[in-house]
Amino acid sequence: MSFLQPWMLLGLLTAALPIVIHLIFRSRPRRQPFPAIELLLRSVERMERRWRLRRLLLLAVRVLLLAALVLAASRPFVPKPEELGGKVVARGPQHRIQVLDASMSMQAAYDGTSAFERAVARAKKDAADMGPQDRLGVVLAGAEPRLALAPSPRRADVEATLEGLEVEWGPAELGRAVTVAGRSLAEPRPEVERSIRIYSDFTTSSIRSSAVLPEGVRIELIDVVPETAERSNIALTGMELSPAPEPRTLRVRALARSHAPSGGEARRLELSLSSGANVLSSTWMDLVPGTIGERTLSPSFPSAGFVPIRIHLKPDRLRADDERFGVARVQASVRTLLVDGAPSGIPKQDEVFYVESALRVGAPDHPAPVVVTADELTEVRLQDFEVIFLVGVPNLSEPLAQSLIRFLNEGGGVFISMTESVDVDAYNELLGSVLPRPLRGLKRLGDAVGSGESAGFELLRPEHPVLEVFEGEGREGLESARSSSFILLEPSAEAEGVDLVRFSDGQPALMARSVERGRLMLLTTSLDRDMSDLPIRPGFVPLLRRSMLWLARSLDERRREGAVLGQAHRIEVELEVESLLVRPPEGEPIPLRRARPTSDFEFRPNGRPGIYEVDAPGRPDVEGLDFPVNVDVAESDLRRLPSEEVEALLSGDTGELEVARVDADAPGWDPKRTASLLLLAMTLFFVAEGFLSFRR
Amino acid sequence: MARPETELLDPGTLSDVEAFGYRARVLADSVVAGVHRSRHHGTSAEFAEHKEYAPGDNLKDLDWRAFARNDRHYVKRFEDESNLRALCVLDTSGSMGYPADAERPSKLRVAALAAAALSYVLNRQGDAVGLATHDDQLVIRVPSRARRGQMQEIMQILAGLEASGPSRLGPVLDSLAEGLRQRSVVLLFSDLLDGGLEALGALSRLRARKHDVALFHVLDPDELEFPFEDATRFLSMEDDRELQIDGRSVRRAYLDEMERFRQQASTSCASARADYRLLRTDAPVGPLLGRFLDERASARASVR
Repeated sequence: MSFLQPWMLLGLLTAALPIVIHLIFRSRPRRQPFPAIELLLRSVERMERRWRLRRLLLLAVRVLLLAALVLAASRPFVPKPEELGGKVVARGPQHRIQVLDASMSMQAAYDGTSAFERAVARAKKDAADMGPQDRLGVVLAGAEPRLALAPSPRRADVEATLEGLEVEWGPAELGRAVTVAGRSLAEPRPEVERSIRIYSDFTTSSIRSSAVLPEGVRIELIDVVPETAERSNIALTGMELSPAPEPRTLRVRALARSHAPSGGEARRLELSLSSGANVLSSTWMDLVPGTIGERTLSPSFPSAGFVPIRIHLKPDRLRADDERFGVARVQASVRTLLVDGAPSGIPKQDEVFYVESALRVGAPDHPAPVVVTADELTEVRLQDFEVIFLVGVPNLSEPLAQSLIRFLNEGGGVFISMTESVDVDAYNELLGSVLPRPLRGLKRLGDAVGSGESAGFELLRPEHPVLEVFEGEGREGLESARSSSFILLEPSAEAEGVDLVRFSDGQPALMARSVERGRLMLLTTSLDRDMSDLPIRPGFVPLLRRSMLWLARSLDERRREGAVLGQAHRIEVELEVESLLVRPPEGEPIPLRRARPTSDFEFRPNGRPGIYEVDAPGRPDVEGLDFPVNVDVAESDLRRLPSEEVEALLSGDTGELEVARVDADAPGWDPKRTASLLLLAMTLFFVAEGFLSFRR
Repeated sequence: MARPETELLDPGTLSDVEAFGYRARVLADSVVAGVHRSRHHGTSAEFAEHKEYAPGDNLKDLDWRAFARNDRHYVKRFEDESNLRALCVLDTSGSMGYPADAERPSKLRVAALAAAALSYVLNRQGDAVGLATHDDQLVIRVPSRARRGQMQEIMQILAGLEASGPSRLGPVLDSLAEGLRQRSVVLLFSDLLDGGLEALGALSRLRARKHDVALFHVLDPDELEFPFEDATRFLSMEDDRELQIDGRSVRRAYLDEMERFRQQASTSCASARADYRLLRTDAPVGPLLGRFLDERASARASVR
């Protein structure tokens, strides 16, 4: 037995107090002649044995009472069995590194206590068993293993270090952590016994690489999870967002996985989607143990724009993987302005008639298009619209052209269709900066479709969001259209746009490009039946609807690319921005700079999951860069690796490491436990003393 | 200076004692006529019984009338009045000197008072009475006689008794049995302490010699009730033994021991067909002696 406060043993001298008091206050009897002393002696002789025993017991109890008090104050403890019987002196000094697994799986709670808290508690107990010649160090096995404390002889330093450790949200690499620990045990003194003690839950993802250790270093494994604990866990593993026909509505597909032995009855889970503190949608998901399940929610958002969202389950053993974060781009209704270049009293002779009819049918959930003439356009607030269709406008005024360019630069979408009477020079002069390619002139193949030569339509980029719906018969419905005349474009090596559709003679039919923050599409033929029969083809309505949505960015990916904790994440910024400021859910903002002027920003989140807000200092026009960070679902599998596999994984190809498993339930003697026992003994002694003193 | 008689015999005690005539349970074999009947047949004129003639009988006692009627020889026997011989034996060992203070008379003093009262009654009715004392040896202080002046001599000795020395009752009773040639009433006054209880076995030897024995067990209330509370060093009154003890702690055990002691004394007396009387020093002596004499008289009457 040893003592944490051995000087308190001086108090053992107080154990002599009862004896001293007995001697000092011994009674002075009066003298009394008595005739029946023979009877008295006989009586005393009968009781003497019992009296003597009681007196001895009373004295012993009082001495033990004081001794127990002093021992309790001295905080005794019993070292572990291998250190008993003089082996403490015989074994020599020990240098040990405690490696604590700080991976996310260590957040899992068992009997109300997380595995990491158990690891810290056990490591502190082990630290309390340090001998005066021992040294103890601490390595935290997080995303980046680090030596938290070099081998130190001071137990207080070890305890303070252990208390300051925090579990992380990402995976850990025990193999690398053991290597880090081994470097601090490189002392070659032969009499020093060196070991690395790993406190972990030893889940399937805890070891990914082998360890490199100096010779003679022993590894001890302590599984901090109770042997009988059930290790099943349910995790949300994915979230996919897709557009919905309705404005401000998304399709959110949630994926969940049960890490449990297969079989058994399905478990019903409550799945919810929240934005901020508001729960927008909830549903149920039945998940069979050992399988993956999915469920789709259709939340409606109160406003458009980039919205942080979170899907979550009712928390279970590991809360960290019961939620996933995302940033959804919610599209508002698309308001469309149709500019009629050649108004006509006969609807079928008016090109806008076909466009308006197609949009009314193809996008009924959006506001009806507003129709104006080219002359009226200068009186319209373009900011009130997301998309402008220039339908057969033959000529442009300079103010109108400037308004359109400004509209494009601010994020608007412009669709331009041609007419035979178009003023090519005016277009090239006024809108040349935004056109995919300059206009060259009209090419006429025949008078009309069906009465002469014509060109067919060919889809060049069916993967483009505008054309991706044209599959099978749908593609045929678009490619069956014919055009008898169209506007040729100048060949250009610096073409800004992409050809989506071309004519059968190879000339561009439909092009698209981005202009600053806006988008522009150019159809080199007309939207009425003057130059083609496209308006009467099945592909006409979907083509216009998809074009309108693409120009309004409604077909864009609905989510920001998310990041995974512990893994590198690239932030794409199209504008010229030199630095960014990333604000994690907790902690200080993190400044980012480009590695090269043309490269993306790179960031490796190591904090907690959530929405990471991104600002560009001095650039208020840069927005919408917030991105979600989620946990690595590999940590969700809490199943234990067998000791042999742990040993094999740590040893790697060499197989020379000495690995031993230590029973986590056989710690050294707890001083608190000893003090409790001594307190109990004191109470019993006190009661016994009263009993012996009272009964005469 | 008061006379010894008046010092010992207070009027109250004497009145209690004189209210009863003392009659021994057995006949005294004294030839002196008195109020007691002799168990021996003598010369009085009162016929007692016939006895078949045996060689050696006095021929003058032959009943010729009976011979004429039955053709057998019978001798007539007559009852005769005889005096009682009594001896008071007082234990004067050291333990009888308790208590030594003046608040209460000592056990020896109370024993002397009782012995004086009984002697006075016996002497007044013409019986022979004597006095002996003992510690570890028997001393016959006044032989039993019925002469005048006997009481004065007894009283003087009783008044001058002092308690000292050890007690050995067994040898005393043996020597008493050897020394008493005539049947006597032996009145023992003792606390039986210091081996006295074991000596009671000698009572049977006295009884075997046809002596009548009465034991007055003299005890003080302190011995019977043990009122000591605090730590006390108890000193023996007959030797150098001592014991330091807390009175409260030993009281119950002592009282049990005393009860056993008294029970054994009573039982020993009963087995020896001797009277046993507890004589407490804090109780009046007269009523005790009165009851003693009354019971003896009743026993005698039932025998007759």
